Amino acid sequence: MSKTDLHYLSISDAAALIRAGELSPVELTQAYLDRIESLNGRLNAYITVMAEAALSQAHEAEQEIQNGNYRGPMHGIPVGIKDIIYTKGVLTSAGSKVLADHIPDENSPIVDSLHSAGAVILGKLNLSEFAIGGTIDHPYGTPRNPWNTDHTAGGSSSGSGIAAAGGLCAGALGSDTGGSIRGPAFFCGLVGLRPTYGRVTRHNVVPMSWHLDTVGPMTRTVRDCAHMLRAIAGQDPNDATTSALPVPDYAAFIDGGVRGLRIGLPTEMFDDDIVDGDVKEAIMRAIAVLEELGATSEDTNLPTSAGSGAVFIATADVDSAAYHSDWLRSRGDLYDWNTRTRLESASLEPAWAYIKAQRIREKLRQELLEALDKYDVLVMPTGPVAAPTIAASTGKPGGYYQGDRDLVRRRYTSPAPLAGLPAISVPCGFSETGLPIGVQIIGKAFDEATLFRVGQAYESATDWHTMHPDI
Amino acid sequence: MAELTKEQVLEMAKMAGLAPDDQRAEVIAARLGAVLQALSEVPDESVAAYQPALTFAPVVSPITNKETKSNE
Repeated sequence: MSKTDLHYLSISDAAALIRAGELSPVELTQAYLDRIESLNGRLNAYITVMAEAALSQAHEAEQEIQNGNYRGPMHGIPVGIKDIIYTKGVLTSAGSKVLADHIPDENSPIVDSLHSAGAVILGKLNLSEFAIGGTIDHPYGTPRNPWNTDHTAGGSSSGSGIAAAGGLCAGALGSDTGGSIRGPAFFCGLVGLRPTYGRVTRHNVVPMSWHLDTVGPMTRTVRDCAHMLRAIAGQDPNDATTSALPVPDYAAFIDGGVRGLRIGLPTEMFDDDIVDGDVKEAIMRAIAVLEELGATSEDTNLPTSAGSGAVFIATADVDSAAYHSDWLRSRGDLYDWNTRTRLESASLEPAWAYIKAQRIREKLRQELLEALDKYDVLVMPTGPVAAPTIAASTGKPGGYYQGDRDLVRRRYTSPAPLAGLPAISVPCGFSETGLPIGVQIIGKAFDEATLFRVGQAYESATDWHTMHPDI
Repeated sequence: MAELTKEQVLEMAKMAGLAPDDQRAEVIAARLGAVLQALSEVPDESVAAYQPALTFAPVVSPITNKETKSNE
């Protein structure tokens, strides 16, 4: 295999070669470091590259494997992690000047889990400031979509999307409060999973919203996503919200197919006035593929989902405003204009609005649970439009977050977080302008295995995952 | 619901110890106003029966392995 092919190897394929002794973790890590060196200046995926530590971890992995101590499919695999996840002794900036000197003295348990699985950590990935989304001036460089560098990679896990899609790592970790994994996965042509709330620890992860935050994988294939989730999932005594439910071997169930699977299609998510024609066409073709594979689908309703964008903002942003309360008043000038404005806006939200949002949230949660009593999964677009240009999304005060339009867009990614449910975005085509489109699948609590099974069945029947940006 | 004005935002911000400039206050008025408007459009009686959840994590019964609903 030529060196130029290494960076787009799937985790599964690389793992098989590494296990067989046909690929060196050191060679693979060096290939990614070379690619980062060559492309990061254009794409701004990484804030910090941990080259020396990565090569050291790769050498260690190689030695262990040669000694017969193979740990599993993440052993020797180079990954990137979003820069809100604590790394001991390494800058964890949360994409903000406010934390420009923040060097944690301990790791997130997620980092420890990756190390235990034998993964190699290449570095810390760029993001929207404090994972809040809508940053206008990124202090560590404007993240650029590898499919078209004039376009946004989405947020807030922008660097995670760019690095995984552009071949600057084998897989990446992002975080998803209201769509921050699924959005960039959609815009960059990746598989991105928001796990069930409580499936992955949030200890030593800079919070956006304590009530909604999750950490999850972004990868080039569904199977890779399953491998990464298994490596980081599980109960953590430092995070009381984590579940004691055992973590399945997701990859063991992934090839079960979709024959007999019942799919619900929430009609609110297919409104022609909101969804672009090419996005809707791609989603309908994806549904047709699943039906050809033996699934059945029918329309259903989530009436409360139409207002879920406002419920999300009224919930998540208030958490953020509380977390940033002191800094906002003492170091407000260090924030991006839009981040500061959004946090100040949430600081003024009246109590009636917060409580009403929680009531609506509970109603929406009940609707989703009832729908998932009837169907195995719900399928819909991950978002209504493919990646807009950077100029369009940041070129004016308020950027992405102009009133009604923002609330409408958010209805696609808000329902799953508000109900604590898992959701995955899987590539399913391209827009007329050549940008990726993703289909979203929402599942039952702690049933990520079914999401992977559906995603894998679709991926096996299509070739979107084999397409990579020409950069 | 009456539209939120820049002047109201500046007054509330002052009480909250914040000091947005006029441009930010205008965007806050539009942004917060849109959220409040959207929430107020949901009739109170339609959500009165739904109490804010006591737990945000899905609760799964170890016996049935099924998620329980918080109002049950």
